[in-house]
Amino acid sequence: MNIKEYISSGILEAYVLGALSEEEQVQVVADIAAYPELAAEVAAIEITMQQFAEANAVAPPAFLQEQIWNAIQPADNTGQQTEPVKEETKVIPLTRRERSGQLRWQRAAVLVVLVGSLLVNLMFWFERNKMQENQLAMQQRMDTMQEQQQSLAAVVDNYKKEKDMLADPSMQSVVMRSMQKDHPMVATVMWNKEKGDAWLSVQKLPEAPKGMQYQLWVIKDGKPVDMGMVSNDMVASGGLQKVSKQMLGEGQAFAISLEKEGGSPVPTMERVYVMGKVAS
Amino acid sequence: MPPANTYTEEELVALLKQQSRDGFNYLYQHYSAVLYGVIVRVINDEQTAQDVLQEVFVKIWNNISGFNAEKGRIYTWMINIARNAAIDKLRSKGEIMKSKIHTGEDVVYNVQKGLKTEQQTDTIGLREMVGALKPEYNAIVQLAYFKGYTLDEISKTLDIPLGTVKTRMRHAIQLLRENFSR
Repeated sequence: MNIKEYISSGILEAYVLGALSEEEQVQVVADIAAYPELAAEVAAIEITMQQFAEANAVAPPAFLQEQIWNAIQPADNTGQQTEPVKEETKVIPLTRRERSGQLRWQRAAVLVVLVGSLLVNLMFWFERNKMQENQLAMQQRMDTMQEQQQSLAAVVDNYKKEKDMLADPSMQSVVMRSMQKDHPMVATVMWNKEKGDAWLSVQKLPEAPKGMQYQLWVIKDGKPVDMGMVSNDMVASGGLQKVSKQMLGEGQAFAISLEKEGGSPVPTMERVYVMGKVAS
Repeated sequence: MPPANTYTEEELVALLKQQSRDGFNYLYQHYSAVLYGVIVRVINDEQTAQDVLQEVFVKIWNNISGFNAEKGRIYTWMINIARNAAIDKLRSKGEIMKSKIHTGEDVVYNVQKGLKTEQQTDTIGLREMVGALKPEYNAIVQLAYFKGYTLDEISKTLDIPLGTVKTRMRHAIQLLRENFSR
């Protein structure tokens, strides 16, 4: 607060002259309590107004002294005419000013505690936000790792199955190699002749274009027989898939061709990608 | 006629708290003229002013036991009781309402007219004081101190901005201060 501006504004004169609204008066009382310079100025103005009142003095009629004394006496004896002073609200500045020293300390203390508490809360809040962010980032990393671990486990699982099948003497494996020049492609069929079950593993095949799908064939007596569709997902992941159809009896060769989605009754010859002869 | 300060403020409070006839006589002899002067400024009617003076003494007498000298000046306290009692009486009689209906000029004129009549019968000190204040300052002090007008009411009555009312009020008190310190 600019004390000089405050004083020169004339608000303290207005206060002493009783020309302020109640709200303004409360504010000025608080200001006076907070700033000794203002209190000193108010005291000076009060003394001026006291001198002003003295300069305005008018002697009342002499008979009043006795009359007023008599008016005071019955009040003292009966104690009934002692009316409470309405003016008390108006002299409040005098009483309030005194208490305000203590009040100011209490206010300052409360303010310090409030500000301190606010700062600590803010600190905790920031800390908590930071921890929440950290936790979220960690959760995301954990999720990613879990996904990676799962897909890795699936791959390992497939490798294990493939290895077991390759090691199984009842299983015959037929490696199919590229039929397209300059496009190295490899896939393997593992076939249990006695049970008729077969598995297909893709080592290297290009992703099927949209609307197209690979189809597995077995060549029996010189004719291609449908062995079912190859899942595009399996091709993409280079995994292992059980062949959907049973294959009993003799077969001379296995082949994979690219067909329209859902397959064709006969393979499109120029799109036979890989083929492998069954060892007799 | 300023009261001779034979007692300090604290001694006066102690004396009044005894509630003795001597204490009352001292109070009356030293302060009745100042208090009455304030009251007749507010209320031009002498009979009513005397009634208010009696009320004021009763209030001072009955409330002196609760007065703490450390809480403020007893002189200011007493003057405020007189001023507020007089303004309350003025308001209860509806005079302030009447005067507010008048134009600002009327109010200023009335204030100054009241000042002149008292000037003729009053002390030398008052004449000096009045000479020190120009009418535009005088009117503001009179309206605030003796008629109980708020800044806002003064601003509307005299048709001058609120800020100007405040600065003129300060200037007026400054002039009074200089005048009294001479």
